[in-house]
Amino acid sequence: MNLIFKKQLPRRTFLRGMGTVMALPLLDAMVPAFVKAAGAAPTRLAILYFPNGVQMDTWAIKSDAQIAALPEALPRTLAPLTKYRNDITVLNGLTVDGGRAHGDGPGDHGRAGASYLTGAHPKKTFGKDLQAGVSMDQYAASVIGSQTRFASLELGCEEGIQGGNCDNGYSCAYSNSISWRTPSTPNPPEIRPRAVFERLFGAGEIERDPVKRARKEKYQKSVLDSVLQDAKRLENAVSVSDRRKLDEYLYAVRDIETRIQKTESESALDPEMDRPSPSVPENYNEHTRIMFDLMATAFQTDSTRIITFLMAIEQSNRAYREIGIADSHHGLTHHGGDKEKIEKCILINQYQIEQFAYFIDKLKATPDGDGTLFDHIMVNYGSGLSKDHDHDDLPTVITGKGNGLFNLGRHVTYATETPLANLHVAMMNKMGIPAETFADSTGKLGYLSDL
Amino acid sequence: MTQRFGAVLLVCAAIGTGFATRTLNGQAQVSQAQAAEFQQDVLPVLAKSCLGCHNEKAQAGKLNLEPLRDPATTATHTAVWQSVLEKLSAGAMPPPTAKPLADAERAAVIGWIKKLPGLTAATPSEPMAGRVTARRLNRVEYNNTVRDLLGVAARPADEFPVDDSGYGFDNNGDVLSVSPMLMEKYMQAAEKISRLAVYGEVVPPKPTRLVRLMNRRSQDAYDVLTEGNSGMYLPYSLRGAMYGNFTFPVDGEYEFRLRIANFRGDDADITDEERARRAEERRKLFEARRLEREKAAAAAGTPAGAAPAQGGRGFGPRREPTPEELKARDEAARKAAPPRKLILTVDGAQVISTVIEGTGTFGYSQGEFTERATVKAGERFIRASYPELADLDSPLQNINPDMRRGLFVDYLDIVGPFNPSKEPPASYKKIFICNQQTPQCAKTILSTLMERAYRRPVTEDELKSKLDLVALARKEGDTFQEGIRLALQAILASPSFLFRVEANPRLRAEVEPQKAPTVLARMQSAPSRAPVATERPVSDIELASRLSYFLWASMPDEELMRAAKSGTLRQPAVLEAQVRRMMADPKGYNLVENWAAQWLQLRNLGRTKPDPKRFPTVDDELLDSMRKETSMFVDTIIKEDRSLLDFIDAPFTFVNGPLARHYGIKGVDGEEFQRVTLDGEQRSGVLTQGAILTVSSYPTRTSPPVRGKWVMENLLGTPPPPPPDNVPSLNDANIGTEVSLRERLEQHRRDPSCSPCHMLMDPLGFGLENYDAVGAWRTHDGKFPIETAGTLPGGQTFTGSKGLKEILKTKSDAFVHNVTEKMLTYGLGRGLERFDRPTVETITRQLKASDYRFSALVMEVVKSRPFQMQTVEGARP
Repeated sequence: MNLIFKKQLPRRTFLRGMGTVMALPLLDAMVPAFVKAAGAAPTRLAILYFPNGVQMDTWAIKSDAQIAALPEALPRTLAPLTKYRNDITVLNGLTVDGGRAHGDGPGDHGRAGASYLTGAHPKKTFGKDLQAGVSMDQYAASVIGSQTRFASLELGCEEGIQGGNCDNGYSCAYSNSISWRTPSTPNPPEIRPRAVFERLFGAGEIERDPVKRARKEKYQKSVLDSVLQDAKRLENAVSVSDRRKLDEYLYAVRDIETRIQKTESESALDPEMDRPSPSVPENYNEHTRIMFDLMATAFQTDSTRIITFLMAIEQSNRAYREIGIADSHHGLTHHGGDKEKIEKCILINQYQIEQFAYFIDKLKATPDGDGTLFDHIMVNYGSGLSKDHDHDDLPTVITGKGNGLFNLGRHVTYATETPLANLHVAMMNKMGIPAETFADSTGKLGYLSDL
Repeated sequence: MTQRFGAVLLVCAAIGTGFATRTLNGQAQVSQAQAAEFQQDVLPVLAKSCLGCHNEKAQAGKLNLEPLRDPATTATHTAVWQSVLEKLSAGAMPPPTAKPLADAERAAVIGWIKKLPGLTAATPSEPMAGRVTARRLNRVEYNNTVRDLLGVAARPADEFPVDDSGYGFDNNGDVLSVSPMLMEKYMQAAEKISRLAVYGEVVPPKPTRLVRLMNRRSQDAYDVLTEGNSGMYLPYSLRGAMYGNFTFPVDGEYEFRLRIANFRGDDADITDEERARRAEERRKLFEARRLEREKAAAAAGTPAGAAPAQGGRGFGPRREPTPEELKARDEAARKAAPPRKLILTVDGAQVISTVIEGTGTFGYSQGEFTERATVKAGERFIRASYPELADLDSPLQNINPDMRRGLFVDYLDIVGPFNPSKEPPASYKKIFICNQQTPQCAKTILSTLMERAYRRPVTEDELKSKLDLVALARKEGDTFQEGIRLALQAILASPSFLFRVEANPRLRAEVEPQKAPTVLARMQSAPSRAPVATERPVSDIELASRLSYFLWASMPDEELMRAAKSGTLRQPAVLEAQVRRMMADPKGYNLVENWAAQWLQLRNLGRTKPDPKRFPTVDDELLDSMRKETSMFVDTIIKEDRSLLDFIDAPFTFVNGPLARHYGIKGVDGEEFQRVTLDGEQRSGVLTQGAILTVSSYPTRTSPPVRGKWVMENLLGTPPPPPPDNVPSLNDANIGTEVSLRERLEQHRRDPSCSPCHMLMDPLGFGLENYDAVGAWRTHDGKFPIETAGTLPGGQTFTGSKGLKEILKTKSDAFVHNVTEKMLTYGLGRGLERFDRPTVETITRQLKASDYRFSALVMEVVKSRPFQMQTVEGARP
């Protein structure tokens, strides 16, 4: 099914869709005057998650000041961001309490992944009764997602693990996904660049004959109608536990339905990048870069405003042979004080930060509205684990100006136990979501914009 | 999180994780005498034998017995005590490898529990059928079902996201969810498949290059050589082979263009340092010459870089070699590059077979070998290789010092199709069973198609909704075929196709024809188990799907459906005949690929690859060979209906030349796998197979605890509890050089928070230390001789894998119990509950009576109550 009809609907159709102001892609080449009339570019959100925590002594900014400018020399792990000192802010002291054991014993990785954006305390289970919470990206998507073709995108660089028990009795689903549409429905990330591209911009040949195209659309809608009827018919005949599965199905079909409607009201999308190769790059550097390019393109074409991205899955065992490290990342973090292993952990974290730096560059180089994407995006780069599998003082870097939300070039230390969810609230509010609280938040995180 | 275990307890006991337990806080009161008895007889046993693992932190089997310690409130935990009672009565705890309880201890604890007020019954709970949640087809099932429904060659589900799995298997209805992304892929696949099925593949008007297959260039292959968008990257082979699957779109002729390549190992005998030195020397020489040229040029007044005055390469004219010299050079080249056989096979059939010979300059003449062959549409296995290289003593003989391969297959282009079949695709004939383009015909076509796709009869209402689509297409001016295609698209996206839904029995209107004596009737009339009013048999048609997805991971075929519809499927003879027929069918390989591969964790092989620096002879191909060995081994146990105990120890396995060399087995040459007889000294049973030994190791070294855990978890069914948080991993920097792994682990184990469980795991793993992290036999690790002696906490001692297998054979009850659980979990597609315990025990007993035949396990699962019946909603305990 091709949801996108690249290039075949030029200006005429475009103007017809002017009613849906916010949903229009802000392509400068197409509608410069229109954008100015419509006001500021929308605020976008990207959450970049990295697993297995960091060596905090090579991350934390040593300073007594609660708020201060970032020092000239950044700590070792953050060193690749030295050049971007004025483009980031480092937040200290944020906590995800739901990730802690609370009597459930070991399993910090599974809990870290599933609690990071949900704030929930995930239920210890092999999978039968998954229970985390709705993640903030999905909550935001449920409110503003209808303004774009994709309410949200979930992307990553490492395939999830199959196998019921990933972390001491926690289902792999907890470490495979940070995005949760419902407390029991994780959104698994897509790792194949080609698949992301085709999802955004269509897979097959473009039907240029308007008659055939209209017919094709009609067929698509009829098929969707038909299967929706099937689902409703079934719903009446099945048990309550089965209905939960059917509800997932129904939700997914409706999601597609709305997207088709939006595609009609919008116009052609013309990505400024080529269709990626079908193979998934094995080289980490190549893989992250093409995914970041795709993310920038998705934002630029206003295909979505919310993306979560897993640098690797939680408890990742990836070996970073690109930088000469043959050991599993997770294994290394159980270093037991071994200097060589600690060094390798630092190198891996640094290497990931280098990828993050590329994303900053990309955002700054991507025109968006009257500026660049960097001006309009809020990016949170962080992990649900800090040192030694702790869930407090989580490593958190924010970047992008977030349409004025983020004052950059600083580090801010919050009171211990300040929920990370307070940052979620602040970011959601900036996107126009009137949430006063989210998960375990105690308010809206302060000191982001003002001094 | 650095808190240690409070108590130092000697023995770990784990309650099988398959069974959930609940804590109910009742209002139970106990007498003073009972409380005193608890303090004196029960608590010490609890502390000594249970709490080591079932404590607040470890919670082995998700069970924490700490709350039972308090004499004042212990009696309120009725449900927990109930479960303890069951485990103790059944002898299931402490786990088989732990120190057993003395009879008196066991009796005292059991006696005390039985006197507790509020205990429901002293016997295990009544078996129940349970409910299986509606489950969507997983990727394997989707591909298979589409293949069997329509006969199309595509494998659309390969593009779907990885399925989550629960309780060790990826067919668990509770965890298989539908995300919007997956739904989108379902919609795309439905359109694509319906087009393929009705119109066939879109065949390019003239033959084109369909794919370029290349293998990785090295173990680590970061240099992705992307060419266009049609590249496919295949596993790395040190022996230069290339292999993988390709799906041919249509019956027809295809041209295979195979390019070979080689790098000469002229400097094969020199060290890296020497090569670097020579390179530096060359660089200096060139630099000196360049300077000289510049000087000469400056002197002559010509610009630098212009052709030197004299011919040749700057230093005097070159002398033409004499014919004798040329001949000698050729001869030397031929010797350095002996003739090698090269073959290309498609699904085992030879397409190219030739011999390449050495020539002058490049070692071997390079170039493309082109051959055409007729290939049937569908997924085919392609392999291009130099079969003689399989017999190199070490694959590194094909590797030059610069790590490039001597001989290898550079790429294979598949071009075509030439003369594609003009026949409508097989799927067309399957669909268009009626030739007129009439509404009546549409009805015939769709009702048949839907009944097969939904695996059940369809209602008029359902049929009409799809006929409407045909009508719509006709109204829009499209053809009849397009109308059917559109309906098919909707059928393939329908929840009735994508999900296996079993009707809620309360709502099921139709009455199954019941003809005695059936398996079910016997079950319901069994005197010890009065029919439970809250359970109903699944319908015969649902049973057919249960069978086919269990044994084939696909839809029922016509014969099975016929038996279901005629109401005979539940007759014992019919049921057994169907099961045997299905197991013998090639589709029965599903039990190897999906059940066994997940049970034995074969799917994890290659996920974390062995470190190529430490194990330079282990390439993707060898890992694939290991996987194949174990798969063939399991397949043989099934096909020959051997004993389940053969998994532990069987006098045969399958190896080819390279794997035999890896194992040190003599007398096996060539690329083909052969069955070999084993004396059991070094190899026999899954524990000695490379795949298992590799999957239970780290990339860089073996880990006795990990292997011990693998044995406990996958063979004995008693996984040890997870380690406490933040346990430092072993300091392995100087293992093998200054300290042996065993010694280092023993230091580690002295840590009181580690010892209770490591005492269980480590000895089992030490028994396998003769196999390195990639399953090769060894007598030393670094400079230290391997010691394989172990003592289990129960006091049993053993040496090596042989001894370990003897111990395991004495635990055959635990092993068979565990395999039964795995098979039942897979067969049902749900995790086992406490009420399944009697079912598992019944099957285990039956198995013993049938000499543990594999077929008996499958039959007993099929005949079991949870497989045949389902609990009515709301009646769930």
